[in-house]
Amino acid sequence: MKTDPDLAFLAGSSSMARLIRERDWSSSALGAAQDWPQSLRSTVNLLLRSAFPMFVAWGPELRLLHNDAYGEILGAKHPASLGEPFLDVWHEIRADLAPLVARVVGGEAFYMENLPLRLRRRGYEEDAWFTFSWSPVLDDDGAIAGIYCACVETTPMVLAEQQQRAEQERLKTLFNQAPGFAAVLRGPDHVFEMANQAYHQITDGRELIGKPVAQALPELVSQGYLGWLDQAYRSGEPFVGRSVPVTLQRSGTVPLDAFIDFVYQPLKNAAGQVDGIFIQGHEVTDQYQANQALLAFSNSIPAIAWVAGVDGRLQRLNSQWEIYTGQSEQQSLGFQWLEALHPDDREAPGLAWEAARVGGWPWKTEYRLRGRDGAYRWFHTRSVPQLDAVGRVLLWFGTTTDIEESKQTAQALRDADRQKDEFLATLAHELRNPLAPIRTAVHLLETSNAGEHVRSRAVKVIGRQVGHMAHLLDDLIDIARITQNRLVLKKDMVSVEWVMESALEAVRPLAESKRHVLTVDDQTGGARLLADPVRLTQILSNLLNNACKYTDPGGAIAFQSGIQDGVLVFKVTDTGIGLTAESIGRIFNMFAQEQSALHRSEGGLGVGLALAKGLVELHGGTLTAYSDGPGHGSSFVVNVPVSVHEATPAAPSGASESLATAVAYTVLLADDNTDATNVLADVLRGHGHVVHTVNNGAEAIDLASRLKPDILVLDIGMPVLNGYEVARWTKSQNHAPWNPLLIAATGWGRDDDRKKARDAGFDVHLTKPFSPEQLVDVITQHKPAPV
Amino acid sequence: MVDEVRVLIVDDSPDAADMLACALELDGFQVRVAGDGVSALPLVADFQPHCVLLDVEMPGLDGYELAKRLRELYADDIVLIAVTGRAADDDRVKGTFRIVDHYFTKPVDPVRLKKVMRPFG
Repeated sequence: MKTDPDLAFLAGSSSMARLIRERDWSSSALGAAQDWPQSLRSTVNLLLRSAFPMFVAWGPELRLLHNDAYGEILGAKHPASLGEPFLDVWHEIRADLAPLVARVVGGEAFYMENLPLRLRRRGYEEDAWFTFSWSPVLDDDGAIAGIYCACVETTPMVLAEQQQRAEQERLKTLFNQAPGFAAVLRGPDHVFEMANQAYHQITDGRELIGKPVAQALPELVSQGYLGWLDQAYRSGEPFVGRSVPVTLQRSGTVPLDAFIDFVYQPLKNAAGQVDGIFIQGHEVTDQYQANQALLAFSNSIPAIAWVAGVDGRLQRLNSQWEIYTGQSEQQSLGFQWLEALHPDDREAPGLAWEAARVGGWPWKTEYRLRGRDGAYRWFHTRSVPQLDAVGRVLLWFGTTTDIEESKQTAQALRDADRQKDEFLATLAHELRNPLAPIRTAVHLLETSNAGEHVRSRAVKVIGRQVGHMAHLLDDLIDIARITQNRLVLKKDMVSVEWVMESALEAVRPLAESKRHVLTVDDQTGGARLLADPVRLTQILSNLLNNACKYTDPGGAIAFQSGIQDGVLVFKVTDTGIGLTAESIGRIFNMFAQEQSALHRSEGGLGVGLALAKGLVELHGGTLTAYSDGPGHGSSFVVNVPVSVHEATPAAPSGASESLATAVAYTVLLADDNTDATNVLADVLRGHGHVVHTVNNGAEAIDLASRLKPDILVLDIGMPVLNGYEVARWTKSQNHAPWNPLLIAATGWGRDDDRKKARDAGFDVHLTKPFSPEQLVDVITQHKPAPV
Repeated sequence: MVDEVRVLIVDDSPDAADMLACALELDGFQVRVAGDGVSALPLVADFQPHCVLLDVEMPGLDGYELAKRLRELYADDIVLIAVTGRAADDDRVKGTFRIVDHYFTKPVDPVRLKKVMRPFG
């Protein structure tokens, strides 16, 4: 079809160009297209060639002419809308459009962005946004005859923008309402840009935004937080703090002390430079305190407590480990703790562990661990597994307990038991030995052809051996009495010279048979003392007998005595087999015959020294052994308090004269105030008396019944039995000659109290406080006869 | 016939040794006494006893050591009889019992002792 030259402005292949071209406009209000004024033609030609949505509304009714792109905006209104009045086409938004149209028709050209319009173009209502450019179009006469509009629908952009804003809002809410505290700092001075509610809360609602940290929260500077911020800012590396203590000011109340976990995350700009810091964290005070409580709990277990993995590596140790070994937990985790294990016990944990690893059951073992002092002690380890649902071991929990004491106790019990067994064997042997000649002697006496000479020898042997057996049994009974506190001394005034001679008499035959050189040196200057003469002789002859027995024939034995500082000293020195340092410690134990001595088969029960020591102590003295070691001989020293000391004027030991009283007594002090009795006892001992102390009335009666002391000094207000009761008991023991001096020592000093004391049998009433010298004077004045 | 039987008693208890010597002499044995193991050795060489009666527990050279020496020196030419006051589970006593021909626990019944000695007397 050949185009009418008048319709050339409608040329083109767009669907709208064709539609307009093909429509017969002659009957329309716009009139035939050939007659359209030039300005309308130009405008239509422009919009049909444009791909941008455009329309022109022309004539008094503003009839609509538009291009293909605008058809998209019209939706279902197209193509019926072509040539229809513009405001009719958009009747649903006429109210929105009419004022705009009026402005353009009035000659105004303007631009509108994202105008929201509610359209009905596809059979339903929808919100749409448009950006318009409105301008009036003049007719050929220069009058405004229509409006031109280029418009674009911006609905997708607007919706996207809305969504983005909503998303930002949501993030902001999240940031604000996050349970942890969060903030954003800007610049090297760490100026608060944002801070969430939690952050405001922990900082007591102080004003933060726009302020540097050092100004907003000044207390943090000295707590190190500024330094960590600077560090993160400088390095660009995040700084992580765990359970860090923080103190934050509170207005009008005490500061908040808290523990926090936090991270300082440096923020970088597009150029990759740090320009801010994101702070995020949360308060862990409760967890920290719970953790501390758990730590305190595990550290206060009176044992080493630990956790190990399935592979046996230690993961945790409580502080008891470091307290004992001196090795820190860090130095001991994994297998490092094995360092502290005794080299001989290296296998113990491994074996127990292997068995348990296979079986998974609880296990226990014992081994020695080195303490911080370098000494090893025995420990008992028990461990139980933590299992998962199917019974696999997840962890091992264990405790390692010091059992050194019970180990030693058990060893001591075993030793004591063994010693007792050995003692019983020795006892049997020692009793059989004298029985052997007795049995043969009896046989001889029964033999008819034995002559008188043989018979008399047999009788003598029986007598001697029976005496020997009796002596053994006496020792046994004495030992039993001493261990049960039942041995009573029969004291008398006795001279040192007599005691030494008696002791020597008993051992001389043995010394001579072994050709020992026996020297005697008495430096006491004829001193006398109050002692049990038989027992004192027994003590010394026992020591001399040991010296003879445990010295090879031809040895030298010295027996000395002297007075030192008011104490009588006896000393027996030999050139015999000597003692080790260890054996000195146990030689006075019951049944403790030294192994070296046993091999000598010298006989004896091994109770001699225990017996001697017990007897010395009953005299208020001490017995001590000395030796320079095996083969270097030994010496035994007896110290007993001096009693009567009748030294010759020339005797050099006059120093003790002022202290020594004319007579020495056995004194029993009974008072529950041990300090007071100790002072009294010391002073009385200084005066040469033998003093025993007890803490209550029952003990006083018990000891008095055995010791029969010359003087009883009794507190009245004692526990168990009071002083009156002890006095009455003493008076009721009327088997003469025990008639001790009874002294009441009491804080009750009224006449009535004195009468009560007299009635109870007290001879003297001393009112507390009294000086030890007063008591000494009382004793001197009353001078009872020694029992 | 027992006149020819020589017995050496080794015992550190003079009374025990003396009484045994008397009892055996009354039965016609020829008896010598040694107070310890060391002095017993030269006596054995000199006296050449048929039998040595030894106490296990003695100072110095004890019965066990003496029995070992005598076995080394005289093999089985001398009958060895041990006497002990200790229990039979004592190591030294057990050792002695393995060496000697007879052993007794104190106090020895002289009748039983003489019964053991009679066969070689």
